[in-house]
Amino acid sequence: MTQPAPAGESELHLVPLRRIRSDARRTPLDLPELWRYRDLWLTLALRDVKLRYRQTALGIAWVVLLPLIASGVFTLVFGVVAHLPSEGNPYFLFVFAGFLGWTAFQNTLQRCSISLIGNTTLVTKVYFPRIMLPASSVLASVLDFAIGAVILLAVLAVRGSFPPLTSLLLVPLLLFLLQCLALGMGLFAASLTVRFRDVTYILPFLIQLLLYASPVAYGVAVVPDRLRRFYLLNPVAPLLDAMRAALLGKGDVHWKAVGVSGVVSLAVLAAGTLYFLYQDRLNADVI
Amino acid sequence: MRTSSRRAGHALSVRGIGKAYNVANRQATTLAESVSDWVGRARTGRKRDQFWALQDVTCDIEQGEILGLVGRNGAGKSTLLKIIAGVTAPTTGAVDVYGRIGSMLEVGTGFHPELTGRENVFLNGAFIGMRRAEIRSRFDEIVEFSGVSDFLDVPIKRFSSGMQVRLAFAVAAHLDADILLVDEVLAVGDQAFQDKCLGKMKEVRQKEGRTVLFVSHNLAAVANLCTRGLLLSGGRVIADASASEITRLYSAGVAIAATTDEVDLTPLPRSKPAAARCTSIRVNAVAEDGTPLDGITRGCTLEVAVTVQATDAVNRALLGVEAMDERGRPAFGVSTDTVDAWIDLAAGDRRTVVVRLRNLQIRPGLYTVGLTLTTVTDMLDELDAVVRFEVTPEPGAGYERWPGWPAAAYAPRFSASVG
Repeated sequence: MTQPAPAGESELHLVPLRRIRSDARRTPLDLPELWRYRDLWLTLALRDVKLRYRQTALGIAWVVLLPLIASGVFTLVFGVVAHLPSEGNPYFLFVFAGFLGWTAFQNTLQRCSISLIGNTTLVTKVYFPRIMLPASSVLASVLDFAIGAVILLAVLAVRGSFPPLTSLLLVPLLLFLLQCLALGMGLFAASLTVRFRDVTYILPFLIQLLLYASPVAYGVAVVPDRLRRFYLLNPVAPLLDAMRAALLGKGDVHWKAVGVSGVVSLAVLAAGTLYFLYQDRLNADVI
Repeated sequence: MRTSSRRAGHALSVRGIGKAYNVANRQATTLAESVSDWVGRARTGRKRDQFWALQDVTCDIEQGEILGLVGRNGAGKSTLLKIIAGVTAPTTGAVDVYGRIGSMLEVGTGFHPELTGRENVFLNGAFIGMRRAEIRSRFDEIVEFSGVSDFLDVPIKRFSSGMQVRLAFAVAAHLDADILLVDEVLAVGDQAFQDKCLGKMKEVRQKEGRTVLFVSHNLAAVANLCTRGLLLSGGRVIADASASEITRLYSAGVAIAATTDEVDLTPLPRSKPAAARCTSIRVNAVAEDGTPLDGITRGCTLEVAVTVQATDAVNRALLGVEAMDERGRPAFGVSTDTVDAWIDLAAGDRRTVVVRLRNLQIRPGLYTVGLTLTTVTDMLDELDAVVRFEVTPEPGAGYERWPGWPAAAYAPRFSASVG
């Protein structure tokens, strides 16, 4: 072995680099290995970003157009027809701010759920830490969110109601928690989809329900007081509500509920990861 | 693990590896099936039907070895590679891997059709564990080796499969892996590129001391390239020897007895479902009028009768029959299309294709027969060494299995009929 190589990589290995055991119950969470494969995460995430709008006429503009259209419809229904309150904001911006957080959550969850079955040949033919497939969906969501947020902030600046910096500092934290929650749920969904294609039918329906059970098209303020405690048990709700308040620089944040949601999000991520690793051993055989 | 307990230079230590699959038709893929499956099993207390694709495989592979895995379709070669690569988990046993593993991927795996050639080099490299910087530094070398430099910015869906395999091989060949797994990737690509790949694999081993595990049906490549071979049959290792010995054993069909009886081909595992396949074969010598003769001798008329059964309609299929001698050298090969005999089948049809080779000119010895059933577009069935026959010395010949008989493939005169 004379060939120059990164330290230790092509040396004689005296200790097995990897041990494959039939009696292992789950794939180990090998953090050094995940780190070695960090470029795969990036490459996969970039592939998602590059591919999404290739061969489309409007290209990247869709990232902004879709939430704009959805916000427009919701403004019409909930703001103009139903006259719901919007905490002192123009209803359209109020909904758009809610949508940014929601889209980031929903996209990650949805992409995660099909990340394994959408790459069947890879899962059955190549070794790499499988968790990279669902995990790579996060970057595209975060990028979309960033583009939308910049546009929203530009509009707010023009209107002279640019939010205070202290409130903007909350945005990355809330986005992080939303992504943890979405990824955690997505890891469950991805493993389940491999076994039960039923999930591909149920999940969009559940996401639709969740949208109406979350403060996107309306504010938490319209939820009756006696129901609000239960309403805020939906872990997405406090995060989306706080995200909107942080982006617009206006509105109350239900700190206690946000705290509980944050803990729940991290717990869901941990549980999802564990479940994924338990199911991982058989994915290639079942998919 | 104590390092003193083993010789320096192990690359892989495989111990008692087995792999069981639940039989495909019992695999639940929807929730309802899963529930009814579970209820059914709870009621009858029966275990799922299991199929052992691999059983009790044990071997140590030293660093720098090029190990050829040889066996018929379904012998377990690919399953073994998948377990070593970590793609699928073994049911029994353990593997210790001393080094970084790189898999050469099947054509198209790890490529995304919409991405350009350049982007796919990075994607493919990332899947086999290369860092972006590593790919970037070897990018020019990779492109030069693949010979597709003019198409780097074209989406790969516009590449021919030959160009794709060249690019895929080029990426993998430049991976700094200690152990390279190569599964049948060379089936595509022209002869010149195959030679280039084989040369590269040899060079890799000699220069850098890497270990290669190589699955191929190309016996000449195995004999030429590998330092050692494993012969698998029915999921077990039946021989572990030098590459030339393994190819000799394989082509002599050690697992099959020479026979002129009809051989049932339905139990042979196939890698993928197809519209039609060969279900039985019979090889024997016949007289002018078609009555069977005892024993096969030089100069006789050899009749190969193959029954083909279709599950879906098949149009204009052709049957190829080839024979290999004991050393894995082709003895003859014929294909029904050359005599304009085509096999048309409706769904459910069963027909017998009879190929008659007149004045058979091969030396006395043992031969194995391989079959190919294909249409212009689809490979329907491909079977190696399905039956063995023996050519006995003709009465009065002054020799038995004279070793000096030249080995040469020839094209016998033949006719074919589809009944």
